[in-house]
Amino acid sequence: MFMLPELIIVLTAFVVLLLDLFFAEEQKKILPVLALIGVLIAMGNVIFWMPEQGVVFGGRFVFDSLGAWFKLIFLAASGATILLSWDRLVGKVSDAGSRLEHPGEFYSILLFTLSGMMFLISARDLVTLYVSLELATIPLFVLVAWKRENAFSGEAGLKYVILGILSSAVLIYGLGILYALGGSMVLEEIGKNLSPSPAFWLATALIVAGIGFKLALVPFHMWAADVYQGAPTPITAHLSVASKSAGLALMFLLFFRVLGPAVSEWNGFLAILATITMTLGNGVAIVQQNIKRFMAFSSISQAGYLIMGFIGPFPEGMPAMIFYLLAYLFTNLLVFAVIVFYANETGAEAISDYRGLSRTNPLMALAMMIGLFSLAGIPPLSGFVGKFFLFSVASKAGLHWLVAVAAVNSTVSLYYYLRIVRQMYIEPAEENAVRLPVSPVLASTVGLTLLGTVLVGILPGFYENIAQSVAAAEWWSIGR
Amino acid sequence: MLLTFYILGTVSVLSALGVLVCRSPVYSAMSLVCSFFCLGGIYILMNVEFVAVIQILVYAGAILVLFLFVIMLLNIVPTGESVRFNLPVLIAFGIAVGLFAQISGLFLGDIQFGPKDVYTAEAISEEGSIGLIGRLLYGEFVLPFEAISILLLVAVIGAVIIGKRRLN
Repeated sequence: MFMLPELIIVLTAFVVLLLDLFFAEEQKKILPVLALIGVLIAMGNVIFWMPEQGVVFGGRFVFDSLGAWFKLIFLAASGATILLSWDRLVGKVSDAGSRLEHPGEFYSILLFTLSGMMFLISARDLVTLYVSLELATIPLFVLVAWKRENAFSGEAGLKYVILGILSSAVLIYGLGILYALGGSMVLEEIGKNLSPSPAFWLATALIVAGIGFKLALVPFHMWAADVYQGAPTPITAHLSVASKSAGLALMFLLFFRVLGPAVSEWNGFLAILATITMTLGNGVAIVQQNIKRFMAFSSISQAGYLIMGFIGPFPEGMPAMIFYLLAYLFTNLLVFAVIVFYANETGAEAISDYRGLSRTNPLMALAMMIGLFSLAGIPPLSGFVGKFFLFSVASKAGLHWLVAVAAVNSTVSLYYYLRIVRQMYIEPAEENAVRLPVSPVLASTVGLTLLGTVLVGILPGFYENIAQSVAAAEWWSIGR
Repeated sequence: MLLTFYILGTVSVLSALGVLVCRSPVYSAMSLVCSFFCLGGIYILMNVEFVAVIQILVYAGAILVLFLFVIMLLNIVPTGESVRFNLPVLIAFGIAVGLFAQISGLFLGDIQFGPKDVYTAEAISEEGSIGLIGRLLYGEFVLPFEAISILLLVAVIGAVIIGKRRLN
């Protein structure tokens, strides 16, 4: 039964939703525990099935080792989001503005979007693909607007809905043309029937625009900053990691399984997209004052690095991309864990508010510094190793200028990541600054993600394991 | 047959324009109903009666009534602002015209559109579209069908969470 992980997640979501109905306020504190247990069981299940391949519903749903890696990333990111939002939902925060209400609904919606992402990577036909994509995105609109009494959150929710629907419309237009051209719903069949023609290029352009919105690639990134700033901070973390991974999964399915055989040469186009995305993301991040907007632009530039994995002789870039995704998952969540901790206690979101954090909470400041260094790509942290593999993909494809641009961008990014480190370590703390209490849940989240950030870079097994999974996965579009 | 198509097509395009041009939201909604009915007629001409019925029932019936209810409950008054032709509007207009030209260009070429596997036009007319849709919906596509039910549940929860009046 290869659909068991998804079923466990959906079942957990229903259990959490129903128990919320019967629980008193005090008892609702165990809802996050239940949600987390569901995610952990599903993770164990995915790891258990990983070496195998399976087909459910006559090929509509396929489980393979490559999809299993994506599923693990979705599960880990959602598990971390549950941990990050824990204190806010049970009311253990000093800053009243950070509180979130309705824990039962919050966790069930979070788990539903997770199940959509997991169905997405296993989908093998257009209908399942599109429906699971919507199941992954529509719950996010609700989560972004969760603090509706906050003007920023409401505005972010509205912007996200309108632009999300627009991008879905653009995407489904492209998929519709693909169906008309390919004459089938099954991705494999469409891929075989396609040949380059004006209609095909129109479909490709629409699909790239749709995916670009989901992934916040420049020039489709306009929504990112406002949505990231307005959303509750744990959801911002979820958007920047889980939602981005789902966008990559979608891009991966459509590019390699459908468009791949027909497009002989897209390296140049992807290289340009990656270049403008990372350069603009970096350039705008430098001047940001709000830490969430800052992380929005940082994640845009990270998406620029990530799509470098699609470059080069297929499927050599894939292991590098998934590895970087894994490193980015831990690293970005580590930084967000500290941001959530600081916002929970003080409600502060400006970068200048972080001054003197190393005096009051030295361990948290250290964790944040390690996370930022890993995002910038300082050895031996996982961010460096991931970038190394991604850059070597571009180098193998002969795009040396792209490697140079990416390296320059990494250096520029170090400058703005160091801005926060400077606030924490060099600027003096305020006179009456006291040590902020760290809740056990957030402390363990920081510990776990820190462990991941360091270990993924040092332990050699990860990359080889991912590369084996990619090699073992079944490929229809080998002819590329 | 062809004449009916042209009449329905012209009216549907005109009423779609009416949706954009009318200043009163009620007129816009009524133009939309008109456009939907014309589309339903075109579907009947194409021998897909089931889609036509669904089009009338769901879009013209349910969704439009919902629109009208919202307009009446919110008591929206016409703003009196008309569309101004500034630079962003012109750029958007240019892109839309380009996209329209591209898409109409597709149908002028000699590309063979349509399903190429088991569900060809002959197979559909043999079994009837309703039976085939039902069989596919509960057979081959049962997974997305169930996923949509989860999606609807999420939409209901989300609407309650965002729209609920605060209790304090």
